[in-house]
Amino acid sequence: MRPTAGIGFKAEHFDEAASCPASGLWFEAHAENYMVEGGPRLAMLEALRAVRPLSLHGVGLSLAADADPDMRHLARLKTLVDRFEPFVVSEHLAWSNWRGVYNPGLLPFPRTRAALDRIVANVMRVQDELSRAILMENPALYMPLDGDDLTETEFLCELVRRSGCGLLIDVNNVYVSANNLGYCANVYLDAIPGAAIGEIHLAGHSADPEYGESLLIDTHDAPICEAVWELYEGLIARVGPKPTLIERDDNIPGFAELRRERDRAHALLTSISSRECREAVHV
Amino acid sequence: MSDLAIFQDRFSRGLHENGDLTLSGDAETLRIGLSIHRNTIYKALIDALRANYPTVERLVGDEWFLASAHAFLEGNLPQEPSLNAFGAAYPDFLRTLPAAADMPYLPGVARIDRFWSESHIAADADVLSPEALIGIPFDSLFDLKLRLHPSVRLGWFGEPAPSIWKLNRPPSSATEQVDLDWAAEGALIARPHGEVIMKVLDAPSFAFLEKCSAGATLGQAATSVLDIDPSAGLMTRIAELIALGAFMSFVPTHADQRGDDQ
Repeated sequence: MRPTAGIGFKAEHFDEAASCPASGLWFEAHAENYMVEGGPRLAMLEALRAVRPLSLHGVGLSLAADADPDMRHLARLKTLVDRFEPFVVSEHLAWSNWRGVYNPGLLPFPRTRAALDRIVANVMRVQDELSRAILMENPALYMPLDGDDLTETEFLCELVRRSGCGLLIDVNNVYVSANNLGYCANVYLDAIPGAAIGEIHLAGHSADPEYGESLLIDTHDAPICEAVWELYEGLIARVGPKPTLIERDDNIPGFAELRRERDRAHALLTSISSRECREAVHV
Repeated sequence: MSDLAIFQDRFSRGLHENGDLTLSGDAETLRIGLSIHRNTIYKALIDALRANYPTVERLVGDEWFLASAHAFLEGNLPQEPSLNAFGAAYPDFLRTLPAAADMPYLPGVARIDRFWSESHIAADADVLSPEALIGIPFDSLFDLKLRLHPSVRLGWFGEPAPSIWKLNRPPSSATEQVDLDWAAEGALIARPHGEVIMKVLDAPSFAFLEKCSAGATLGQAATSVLDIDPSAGLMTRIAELIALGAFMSFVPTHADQRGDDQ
């Protein structure tokens, strides 16, 4: 499938989403929202899946916790994967469950060798249960932690090499983390091998109300900023077109506004594709 | 214990006990970073509670709701890595909340909000059609058992919480003064055809459904109706509850009886 651009699915957009004529449009759903026995929510996703490809994005497996994945949660994810046959299944390089408490967030950890061993094992456990590779998403970071053995890109590359997973590169997270921790987003992106990237996320962020632009928060409540679009263009120019998602989870606008951002990503992907074709012909 | 586990213990304590992170590094940077994570987590929890209790929020207003949510979260962090069913204990919590003491109907309204959420995500099933019972001999009709639809939730309330709920559940925006008959009421919440419905019940209809729910035969359930009100219009009531979609099937109790457990 030629990589195209999609939109994070929101129930309030269902009618426009299901009838949208855009070529190559796909949708991503948060897996946890559909871990229910029945009802209109599942029926809606089923109807959407009947007309569009779907990606399932998990937030609850807590793969960076020093604990085995919750097997009941994994079984619920497998039920969804079997039912909806998503073209991508993804999770986060973060933890949220710890000692019986679920923290609905994506929490950081020191990137030690021991943490890598644990996360590799957890990712492989998930992939075994689902009988497929998953993509792991880079986090948005708000503070440096002491004790890192590896940089984030080294950590991700090792995770890919050892577990066989792919990467979901969230360009906004790269931008936010680079801003907050003081490194170069371009250097970060250049260190990610293109072959490992299975999907790209684009989202908006907000400046911290107290600390302003020096502390950006990955809020998914605003349009994608121009700096993130620039990073995205540079990334796909280097690695080629990849399925790209417009993510918006708060302050959700009408479908048409998300569609405009999606069409912009789609146009960039298409221009990269045609350039690649022309270059292939010339060689 | 591993370094990662020690880190996660300390981070969790910092998140929920409002403490600082007992980690090496610049204390101020860690405090700010931790507060972003704490804000994100508590915003998600409160949004989830708000989504599950919209009628309570409408009745008490945003500020009161937020205060009650923060107090509730102190002892009720989620255990499941999904927030679809989060806040099951909130109606009981309201019962113990001093600030809610002058709103005795509020826990009941919360319980109906809760029933709505449960019904919305309950298992799918066909509903029993009114025609399904046609042709069953009258003398065996009362031996069969009606099985409630999996989306059905039933409650009995000392105050008219169901009527209050009906007037205030968003997107309803009733603002006119309504004279309520301040009496006990029942509620039937169900999702027979995709949409969740709520029907205010009187004592006989509530007793009937509760008996059915407990596995009684139609005859036993009917007796409980007539015990409350001998002139209750039994057949009309049963027909109305079937038409609402409260049942998914019936179980014949005699082997010689016509009609499958459909």
